Amino acid sequence: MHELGLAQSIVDIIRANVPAGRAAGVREVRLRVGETAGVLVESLEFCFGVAVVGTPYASAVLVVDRVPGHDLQVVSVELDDDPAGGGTP
Amino acid sequence: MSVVTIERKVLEKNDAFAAENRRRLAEARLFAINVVSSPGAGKTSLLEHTIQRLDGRLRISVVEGDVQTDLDAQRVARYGAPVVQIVTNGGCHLEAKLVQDALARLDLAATDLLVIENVGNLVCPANYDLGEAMKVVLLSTTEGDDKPLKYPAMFRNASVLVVNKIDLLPYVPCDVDTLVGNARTINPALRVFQVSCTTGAGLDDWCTWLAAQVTALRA
Ligand SMILES: Nc1nc2c(ncn2[C@@H]2O[C@H](COP(=O)(O)OP(=O)(O)OP(=O)(O)O)[C@@H](O)[C@H]2O)c(=O)[nH]1
Ligand SMILES: [Mg+2]
Repeated sequence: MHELGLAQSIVDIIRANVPAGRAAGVREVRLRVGETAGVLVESLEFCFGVAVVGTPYASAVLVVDRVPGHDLQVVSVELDDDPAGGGTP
Repeated sequence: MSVVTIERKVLEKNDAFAAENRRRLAEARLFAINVVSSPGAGKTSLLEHTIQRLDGRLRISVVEGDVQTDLDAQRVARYGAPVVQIVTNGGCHLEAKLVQDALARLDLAATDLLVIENVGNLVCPANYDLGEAMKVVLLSTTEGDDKPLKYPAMFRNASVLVVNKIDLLPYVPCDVDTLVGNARTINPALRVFQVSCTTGAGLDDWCTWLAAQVTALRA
């Protein structure tokens, strides 16, 4: 149930770390999820798909690295350098 | 394609609110516990008895977290403790921001011990720091002695285990030594109390320990 809240937090973190002009270029969001982080990955992926609706990240996908421990971190995002629809010149 | 490195905790916002709560509680020299358990293990019952027994010795304030209703807050208020109810409307755990809003409605200067009763749920509350000094996990004998192994995060993140409903041991297939052994496999440092809110067994030890924590903080 709380995966939706987590997905929203991930979107907030992307927004805070990717320059607005490149937002539409976000293709991949890499996440590190500990085995004991209490997160159901399938549910988080589903919720992320819901959380990005209506945002510039609508076409982004989550890529999850499972690790030991209880880490739950946004590692990086992969950006398309020339997103269709164009960013800032 | 280019990659932007981020390396931020997903729960960083919650952790920031929790750190603020912790600072505020430290300023007020308050001892705060976050009480977690599955639904019905006896969190509110333990609270009712603790308030009664420590009446006149400790000023206890309470934050109640529930999915619906203020029934638990009503129960606690009957014993004269200031209480703020948080209704999560379906949310499966308390978050630090909700607790921060609740703290603003309590007189922290007139409080020695703050008890936060989390939403009944042995899973999600384990991952949300609220700014408490420690988590206290309750497990009742009717739930079975295997539960620490099945819900390890909660027992790993707690400092204290209260085994409740020991009055029912003659009637249920629960072995307390096995239960405590399982819990200590997960977390060897757990301090354990065995109590019954119905008979009062073990409650003196629990209350004495709580009062000592408050005293130690103020020394
Ligand atoms: N036999 C027995 N019953 C108990 C004991 N402690 C609590 N109960 C009963 O267990 C039931 C649940 O107790 P609560 O205190 O409401 O449990 P809770 O953990 O606060 O429940 P939620 O807030 O709904 O998660 C009540 O009917 C209590 O009377 C105990 O030590 N022995
Ligand atoms: Mg309760």
